[in-house]
Amino acid sequence: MIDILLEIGLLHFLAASGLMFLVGVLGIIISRNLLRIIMSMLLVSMSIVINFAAFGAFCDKSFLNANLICFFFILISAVQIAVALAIFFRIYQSNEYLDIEKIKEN
Amino acid sequence: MEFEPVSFYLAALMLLCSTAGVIFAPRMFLALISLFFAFLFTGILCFMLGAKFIAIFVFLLGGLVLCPVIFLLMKKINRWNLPLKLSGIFKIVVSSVVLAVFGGVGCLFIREEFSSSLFNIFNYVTEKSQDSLTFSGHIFPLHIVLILVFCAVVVIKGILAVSADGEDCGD
Repeated sequence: MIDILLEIGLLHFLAASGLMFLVGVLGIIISRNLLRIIMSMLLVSMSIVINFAAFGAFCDKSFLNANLICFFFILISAVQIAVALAIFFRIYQSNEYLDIEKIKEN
Repeated sequence: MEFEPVSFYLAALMLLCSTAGVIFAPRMFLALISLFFAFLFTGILCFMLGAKFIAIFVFLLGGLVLCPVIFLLMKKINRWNLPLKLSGIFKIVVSSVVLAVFGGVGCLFIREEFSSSLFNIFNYVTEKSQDSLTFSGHIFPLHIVLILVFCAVVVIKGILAVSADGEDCGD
């Protein structure tokens, strides 16, 4: 049992990224502020990046495939967040709040 | 690949703490600081895995670009010190339980169908995706997971819609 804990392998990184993924999903569900939902989405994206990096380190000897996928994934996430921020800014300008419950009511 | 257990556990713990900080921070700027540290420790974990360029890229793009952009945006609309409120405790508990249950169901499914091996999953997907004629036949066990996921979405959505009635909003 102690050997499993002390010999750090793929499973440990997957467990860490899985927990991060679950906390991010929980944040998306329970948050009421749009910006915090965006931050939770970023956390989910980062957990996926860790997942890819772990698989790249343990399964792909050249590191190239995993790094390329990570690179494109991070870029796409950044663009996605930028577009979401612009939309939220517009929502704020028209509504004066970022609470999803209030936005749903209107 | 050899890793120092102490440094791994420390980095993972700090990462999870900063992740929790983003979700449960009472103020906007505290959530942003937690997000910055989440990027930092994600970079550290990637660095430990040998993906140095990805680590630097994550930290630069996330920590040094996205976090200041969000902060400046909040500053512009004078909401950088905004008090953040979560949903009701009932919603948090129910969401956590539903997520844990479906996480457990997913783990059990992987254990039963793929003998707890992620490599078996990738082999399965690779082999079956090349078998175009009988792909729908091979995909049969996965429909249970899809149905469970849809059920989870419907249940969470329904519970959230019911519990949202009558609550006053923070911002």
